[in-house]
Amino acid sequence: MIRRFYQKHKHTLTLFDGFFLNNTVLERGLVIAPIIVAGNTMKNAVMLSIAFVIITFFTVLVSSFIPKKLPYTIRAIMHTVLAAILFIPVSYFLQGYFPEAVYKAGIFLPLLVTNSLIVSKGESRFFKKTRGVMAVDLLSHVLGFSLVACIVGAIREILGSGSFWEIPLGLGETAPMLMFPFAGFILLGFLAAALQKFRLYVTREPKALAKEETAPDGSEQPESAN
Amino acid sequence: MSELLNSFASFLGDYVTYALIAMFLENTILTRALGTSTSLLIIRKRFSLGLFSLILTVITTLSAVIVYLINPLLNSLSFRYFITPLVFVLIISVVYVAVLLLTNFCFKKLKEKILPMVHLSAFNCAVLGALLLGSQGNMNFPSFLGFGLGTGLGFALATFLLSIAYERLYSDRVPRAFRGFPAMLLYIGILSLSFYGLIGHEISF
Repeated sequence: MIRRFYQKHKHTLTLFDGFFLNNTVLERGLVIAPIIVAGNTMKNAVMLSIAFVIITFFTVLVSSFIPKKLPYTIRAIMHTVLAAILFIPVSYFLQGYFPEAVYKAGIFLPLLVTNSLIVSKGESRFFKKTRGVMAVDLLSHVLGFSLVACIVGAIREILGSGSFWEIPLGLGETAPMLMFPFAGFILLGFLAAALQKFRLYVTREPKALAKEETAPDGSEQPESAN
Repeated sequence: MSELLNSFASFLGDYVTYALIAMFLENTILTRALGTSTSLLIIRKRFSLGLFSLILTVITTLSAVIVYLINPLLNSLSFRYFITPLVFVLIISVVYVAVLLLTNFCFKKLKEKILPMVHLSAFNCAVLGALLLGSQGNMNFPSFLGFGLGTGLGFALATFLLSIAYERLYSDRVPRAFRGFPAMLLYIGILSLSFYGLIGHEISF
């Protein structure tokens, strides 16, 4: 049923691909460092998501007005400088609301200014579209990051430290190793596999699916980083 | 004379120690996940790993020298945290342009090969991350230089380890749901676990 719905509304849903099926983190493998290392509590995840959404959305949007006549080097510098300027009010605001989370996130909050959506995807994907379509696509991508950050943050906090939003849940057993970066990689790997499985299911035509069930072929390679 | 030798030995000691720390104990990809997507991209596009790492090391080390000089001034500011990314991005930009000019004038034959790598490595999380980490601690000059070198070498080491498994993890023998990127993440997680075993404690951000 889900597949039929997807096939029927494919053209409309493609516009919002970045949120789920073509997710920045799970499908494209971009901006994974903040989630893996700093996204180990829900508060951290929300704080990183707010920063990422504001910095990336407005930087890419404003950057789209930079004339393409300028050399690529100058444009690349301008995109990153814009993000770094935007970081100032955003981090000031976040420090007021999430002082502890900002401290815990360490270098991963400032590092958002050189995230791949700003540095490379702006030029190679977003700027090729009309501004309206670009804004929707961009919003889907940044919200997709937030979705994954919050899912990962919630799972790691609940199972790793037995709390949610720093409120103890009274769980008997916890797995503190989930708070470490290696567990972040592994958890993200399983989530990426689940998404890949779902994507293969909904994007395949029913006939192709039936054919594959009888004679599997392994030619398709999912897109990885970038 | 012996004083000169002593200071040289001390310089070398700090330089090598911090290079090893950055390479193994605080590996940019395996302990902080910085530059993971770039690493996978250069494997996929079959860029020369040695050349890319050299460019990354040069950009990180040159930027680290400037950051070292400017750091005392930054530290004296109460709003340091908010403007640090802007200052560091401007420093990287200067180094980026300098490396591009150097490539244009000195390596004309290799220009086509080098330029895409320079573009990719300049505004890389690994470079900015190394500068942010270096500026947080009270490192001396050789330590700062060593940390820059170690970051580049650590990136090369981790990318080499990923490139070994790349073909296998994208092969038909891996279940479709896990094939490619998901399996690669699990593989990096296991490698990261082994590096965690080497460190034995949680790293500071």
